[in-house]
Amino acid sequence: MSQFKPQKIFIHPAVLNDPITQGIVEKLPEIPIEVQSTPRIKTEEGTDSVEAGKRIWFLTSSPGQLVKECPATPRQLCCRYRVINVITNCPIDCSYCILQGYINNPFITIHVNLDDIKSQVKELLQTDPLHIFRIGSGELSDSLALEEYTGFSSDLANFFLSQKNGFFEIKTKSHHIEKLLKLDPQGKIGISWSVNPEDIIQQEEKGASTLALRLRAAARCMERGYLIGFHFDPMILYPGWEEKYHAVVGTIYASLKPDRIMWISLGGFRYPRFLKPIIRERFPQSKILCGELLPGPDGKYRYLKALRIEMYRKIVDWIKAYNPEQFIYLCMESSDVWEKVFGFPPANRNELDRLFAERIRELWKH
Amino acid sequence: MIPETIPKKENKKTQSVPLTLIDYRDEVFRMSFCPDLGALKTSMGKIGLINPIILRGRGERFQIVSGYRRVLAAQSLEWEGIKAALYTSDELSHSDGFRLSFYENLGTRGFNLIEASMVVTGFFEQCGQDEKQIREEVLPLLGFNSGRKIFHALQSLSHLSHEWKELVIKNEISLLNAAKISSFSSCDQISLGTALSELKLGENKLRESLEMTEEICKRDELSFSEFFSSQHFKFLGQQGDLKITEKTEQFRKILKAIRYPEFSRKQQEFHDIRKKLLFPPSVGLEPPESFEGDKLKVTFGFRSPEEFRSIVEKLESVAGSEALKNLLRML
Repeated sequence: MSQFKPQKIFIHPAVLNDPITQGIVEKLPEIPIEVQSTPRIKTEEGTDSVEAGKRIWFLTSSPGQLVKECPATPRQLCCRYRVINVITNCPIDCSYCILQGYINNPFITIHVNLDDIKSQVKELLQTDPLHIFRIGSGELSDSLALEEYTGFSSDLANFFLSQKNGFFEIKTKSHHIEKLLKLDPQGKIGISWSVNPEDIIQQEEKGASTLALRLRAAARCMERGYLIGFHFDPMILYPGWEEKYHAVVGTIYASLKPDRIMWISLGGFRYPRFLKPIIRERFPQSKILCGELLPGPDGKYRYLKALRIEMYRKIVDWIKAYNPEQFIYLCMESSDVWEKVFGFPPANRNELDRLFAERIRELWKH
Repeated sequence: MIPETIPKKENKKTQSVPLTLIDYRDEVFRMSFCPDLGALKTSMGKIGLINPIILRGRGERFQIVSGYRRVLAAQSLEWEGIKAALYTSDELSHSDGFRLSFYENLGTRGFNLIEASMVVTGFFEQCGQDEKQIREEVLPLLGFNSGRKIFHALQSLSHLSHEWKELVIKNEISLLNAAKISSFSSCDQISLGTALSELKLGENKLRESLEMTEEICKRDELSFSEFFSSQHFKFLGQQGDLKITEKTEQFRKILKAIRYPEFSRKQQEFHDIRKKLLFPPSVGLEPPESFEGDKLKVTFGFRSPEEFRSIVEKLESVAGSEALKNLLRML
């Protein structure tokens, strides 16, 4: 993954001698280092500070909570997912990424206090030992893009193997799984890939692995004993989308055993108002904003509901044609959309959470 | 950044130069656009030229460094010559000439948006000044803040067609909308100008229309000219009896219907079904915003208990109607 090598590394003085910091720095001997408690970065006039920030790392530790509830959208059915924000900001540059307008720091923050994160996870799991907590990385950064240097995902996966009621999901658009393949996941750890048709990947997901590489990586991880998930998120409506997404579904089931695909999520492209001018400026060739996207009561722009429902119904049909039992869920959608797509809405977030727990127990049995 | 190196005009002797020796088509130093010469002509006609112009020798003829408007007024007054301070090209470099022109103009008049754009572009391209310097030193003198957005917007106005520039200085278009238009190709600018020429769009509606037009053309891979020559707009162009406001509303409606076809179809369908409920005009029945959500909203006003009862009865009478069920099914 040398394309994500940093140009400069800032290190907080408090973690200068931390073994994780040392491990990262040793892998990048040619990269200049500066010790600072707050990186002072002078962005040149006219440069894209978002892009520039993807090549600067800040190794630090956070005294705060790094294990959090997934920031759900009001009025939408939330699935009670928890996220580990061990890395904040992402080296991959997707046109639709909300981080462009969300993260203020022009660098990638890497929290090296992994032990604190593990303690936070343990505390969370102890709050309800009978409950299965789903905890994922990949919310504020791709989980594997920097794995070659940090090894965080494999370290956390190893940690979760000893946690009875914690399910760890590694979300990524990368194919760099070498470190993960060295671990025996015992059928307990999940890795999921965000997928889109190849033309969308090429146009809108700068720096991400191709679909073929992602699926090959998924097949290798499945063979190694990982549970595999896929996220059709964000789905983009564009001319020919049906054929393209249908083909992606077909390729997934041609490459992987259906019973080891833990789940597939679906989510239409949506964005908050502030993101539009950023996308227009940073990705002037992108056509993703040309869809029929309208503001909802929460202020986010989404495809017209009728179009989303049609889109979800179709892809659900295509998936079910390969595996009628496939666990599929919608990300950030309202109960009435759930009902129109699946014929039932989960009563509430706890009900949805219970369905996930059942699915995990079922997979762990095998 | 300035002017110690620039030869001072006050040290220069002036002399009368025949107008025929002045190359007024050489616009290298020009920073006036569409000048209104009326007052200047009157003044020069009554009391002559108070402030001599500045010329720079170039071969047999002279370039105007400062005083385009005065030369034009003199021509119009049929003067034979005009008083000028003369510089040779050795005495006054190209970039110093531009600076001299700027400060000379700055002391005597204001700059409209297009002229401000000419100044910014001139300092950048002719004087080789960098963006930061121009933003910090020139923009405040022109009455702007020193932000990057303003700098780039002003710089981009040089790509506007003449017609759009005229509209900008008539204050009919803001700097940011003008900058947006200047990002379109010259052909697209012409098509847009023709399409909008008979409409009256305020700032926000213009911005919205520009955005929708751009998105439609990108989505459908059309040039503006192809887009505006579609049947919809041709038909609108033929509606000579419509008032300008009606035509403008029609234009926006067409644009929205093309930009959001499914949403517009749904709105129309909702409207058609709602009509069947025969609600009195005081009763409103609306879908959720953007049809997002699963509830309809009824609003009404009343002045008396009788009116209230009558509306409630009407509402009750449609509760089981097929039309109401159809409206709910649309959500």
